[in-house]
Amino acid sequence: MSDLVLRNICYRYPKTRQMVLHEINATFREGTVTSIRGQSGAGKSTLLYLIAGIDHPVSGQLLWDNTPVTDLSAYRRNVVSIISQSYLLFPTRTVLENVCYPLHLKKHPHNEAAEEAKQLLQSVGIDKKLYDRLPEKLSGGEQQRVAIARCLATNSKIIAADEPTGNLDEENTQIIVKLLQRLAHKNKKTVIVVTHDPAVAQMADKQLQLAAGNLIDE
Amino acid sequence: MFMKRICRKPLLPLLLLLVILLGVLFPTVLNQSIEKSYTELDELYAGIVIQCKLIPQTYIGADFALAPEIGDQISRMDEVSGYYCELNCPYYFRDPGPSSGNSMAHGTNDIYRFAEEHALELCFPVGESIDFSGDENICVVSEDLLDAASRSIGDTVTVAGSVSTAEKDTNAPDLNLTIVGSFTAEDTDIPWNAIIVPKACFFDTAELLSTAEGIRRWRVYTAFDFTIDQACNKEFDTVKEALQGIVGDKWLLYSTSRELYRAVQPLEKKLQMQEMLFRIVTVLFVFLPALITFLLCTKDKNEVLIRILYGEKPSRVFWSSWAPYTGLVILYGMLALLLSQAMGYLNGWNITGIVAVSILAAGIAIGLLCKTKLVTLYQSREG
Ligand SMILES: Nc1ncnc2c1ncn2[C@@H]1O[C@H](COP(=O)(O)OP(=O)(O)O)[C@@H](O)[C@H]1O
Ligand SMILES: [Mg+2]
Repeated sequence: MSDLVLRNICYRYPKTRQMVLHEINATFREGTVTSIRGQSGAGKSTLLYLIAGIDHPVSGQLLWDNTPVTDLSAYRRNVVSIISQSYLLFPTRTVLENVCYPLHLKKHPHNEAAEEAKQLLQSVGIDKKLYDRLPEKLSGGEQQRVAIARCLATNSKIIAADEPTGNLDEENTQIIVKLLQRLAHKNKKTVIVVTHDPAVAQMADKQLQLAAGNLIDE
Repeated sequence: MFMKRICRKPLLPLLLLLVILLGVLFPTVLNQSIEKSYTELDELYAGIVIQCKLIPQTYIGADFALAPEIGDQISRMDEVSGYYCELNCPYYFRDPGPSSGNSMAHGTNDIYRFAEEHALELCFPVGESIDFSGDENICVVSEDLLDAASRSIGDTVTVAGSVSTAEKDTNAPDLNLTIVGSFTAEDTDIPWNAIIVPKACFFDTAELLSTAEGIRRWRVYTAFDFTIDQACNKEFDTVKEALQGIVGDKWLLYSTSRELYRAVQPLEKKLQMQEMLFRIVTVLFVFLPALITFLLCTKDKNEVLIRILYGEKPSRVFWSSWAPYTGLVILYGMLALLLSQAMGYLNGWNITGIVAVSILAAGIAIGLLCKTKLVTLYQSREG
């Protein structure tokens, strides 16, 4: 079982004095959805940046598969994918090209990559006629599903989602939540969802609360 | 992939192309109009004749008497294209006999103008012309003198210089002059018994009319004016300085140069403006494309961010993003080159400058993105 373990993680932003995260300890298990709730400014996004390998903690360790994560580039390339509230799709690449990108990066042959991408898009419920559109021509819910499909194409074990439903209506929120659950339970991914929405937090297998830089079990 | 992406958001790339082409077009058009102005200016300069006169500074109203060394120095200058002079000294006849008395010998380098200045009617054998610019021993005398000396055109007379209009100089050498023409006059300041000789007779020909010590003081120009070679009109200011240097401060150089300046000044001002505009436009159209390229590359923020998020090395992202922009700018540069070639004004440096600065701008824009700390880049993402 591959777990992600945070050990005594502390973080502050460059050129600031205030610690945003104090001695965070947590374990995220494979095949589960963990939600992290907290008030605005509590440090949820910051914690997720560290989980997603966007920056090193000031002190403490991130352990994946019982080994400390040191090469963040490799960690991002092979282990983790981030999903953002703003979807973060390539603006000048089509839906299909967006999903193909991680496959091309992994040197999949072009034809195969396209086939695989199409399957992934189908699995998140994106209609064929949207494949050749640019992301800006899609609704928020559709964009987020494309982002999830692209995550799946990376084959990464951890999905770190920062307010994935922050810009979505209830119906689309439900769709995304279901998708994330499916990723954890069926695809055996470690899904970590930061949210301020109790309804979204509720669907998680494990719920954590971040308050003033400290993580508390709910 | 790059070209596909460019075509999907073609606004800035097209603007860049437009600005690069304008950056070639504008200087070309401006350059053409500058060249036209220069030819116009040259034509203006060449089309005007500057007349020059020397005016004595010290005693106004006194006779004009310019030292020959000064006049000759001026007449030998390359920038002086034509000059006219008059000078005179007393002479007397040796043959036919001294009975005619003393009179004035007038020297000039242009008998026709001399005749005009002194209201003389010239008369010489049909089909011939009289040239006083050389050093031939010739003369023109009045009809009355021809009668009195019983000579006709083609005959010779022998004359000698004189100390003054009253006193003869018996030691003065002889000078044989062939009569080539005659004049009649109704209202002139030239007496009937005067002879008119080429200027050279006063200086070069056997030193005749100037040998005797007493006569040297007659050896001055009584009229001297000249024009400036039209090819030298542009440098008139320096020519004027040189002339003033030769004549010294006792003489004032009067010229019609004002007329020239009045004619060329508006055009010179226009030319100055055009050249300034040319410089501004050239510089502007080096930096404008660079600015647009910079903006265009900054638009790739999310592209760069996602690629680094997916674990691509920033250096790789940098090179693989910069290279196609470099290619694009070079492609645009080639189109600009074609355009400038078609317009007949190839300005390789201008285009090279535009392309180089734009490539640099692309490098800086993408470099800044790739060098930014990932957290900062992530937090500043668009969308
Ligand atoms: N780039 C930054 N530099 C300095 N302080 C920051 C930066 N980003 C966030 N912070 C601060 O860190 C704290 C946590 O922010 P964040 O993790 O975004 O909170 P949350 O996602 O829970 O709303 C806040 O007090 C915020 O002001
Ligand atoms: Mg946040």
